[in-house]
Amino acid sequence: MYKEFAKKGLALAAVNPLDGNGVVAMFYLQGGFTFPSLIGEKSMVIATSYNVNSYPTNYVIDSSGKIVASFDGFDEAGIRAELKKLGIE
Amino acid sequence: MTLLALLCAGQSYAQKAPAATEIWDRLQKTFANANSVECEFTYSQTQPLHSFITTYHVVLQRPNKSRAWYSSNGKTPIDVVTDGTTTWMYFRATKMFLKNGSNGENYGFPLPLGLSLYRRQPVGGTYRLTSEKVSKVIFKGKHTLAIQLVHDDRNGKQLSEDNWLYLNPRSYMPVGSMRIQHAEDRMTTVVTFAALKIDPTVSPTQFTFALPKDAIPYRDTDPIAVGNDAPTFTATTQDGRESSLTDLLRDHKALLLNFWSYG
Repeated sequence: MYKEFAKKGLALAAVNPLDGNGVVAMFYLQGGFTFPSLIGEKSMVIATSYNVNSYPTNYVIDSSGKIVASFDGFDEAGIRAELKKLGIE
Repeated sequence: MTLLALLCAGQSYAQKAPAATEIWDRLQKTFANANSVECEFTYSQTQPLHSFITTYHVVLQRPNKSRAWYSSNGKTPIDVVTDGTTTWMYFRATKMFLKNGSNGENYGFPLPLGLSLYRRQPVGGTYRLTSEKVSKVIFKGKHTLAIQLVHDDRNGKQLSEDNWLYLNPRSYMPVGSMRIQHAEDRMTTVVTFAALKIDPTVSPTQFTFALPKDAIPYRDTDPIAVGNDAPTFTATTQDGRESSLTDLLRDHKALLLNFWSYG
């Protein structure tokens, strides 16, 4: 989905506060991802500040920095619908 | 907050697979009078980054008949020792989750000393690998080497999936495996371990499932409401750069912020 929308103005950032950096590196090695992952001690601070208590959780944030939607889990259809409202489709 | 987040993570797994209460009920009914219990369960998750299914066969010893269950996961590196006839696969487990009644509260606390899980693996003559099939060394543990193998089909064509085999570098015996399939930007990971048991070298008296003083009850929190400002942050990325919310949003219409965990 990210590949599809990357050229249409979607930024993607992953936050993984629970797994070690090696696990994240493993996924990058395997997946060849091009988006950033936020790691280290501060990633837990981010997860806490976003009230994340289950994984995966997804937030859609608009260009002005407002939260547009949040998803407990990976709801691809829901995320697509929110992105469409922001002109990404 | 770290403890809370770990608790929360455990909670999320319980929601995806057989519910924690379901596993516990099954364990109690089946092994009411045993001092060790077994179960097999599967995790599955679908995420933007990957999907995965994990099946564990778990044995939990509970000499004090504690109402506790062990949450295993695939993210901790395994360590392996062998006495020449048996290989023991250790999970470096760090957390126990204790069900507290039926009101949904969980307590988490560090594992008691010696609660390790292991896997018996018979010694065989066919496990030694030829070095030309090893394409990458993923990590080296004290007793474990995880390597990536290149598999060819009968026609010599390289298969599209990667198979990771965890080896004991002394005996070259496999102690676990992981299969990853690629499909565009998603992955399917299957990790299978079997026949886990409690470390027999540890005395049952060393198992006490007392709630630590600093245990905190698990409470769900609601996500940040729509319309609020997204909390700002600056953090390090996997490639060593500093990145902030502002940086990520720059020149983009929207940001999808994905919180994920391997499990």
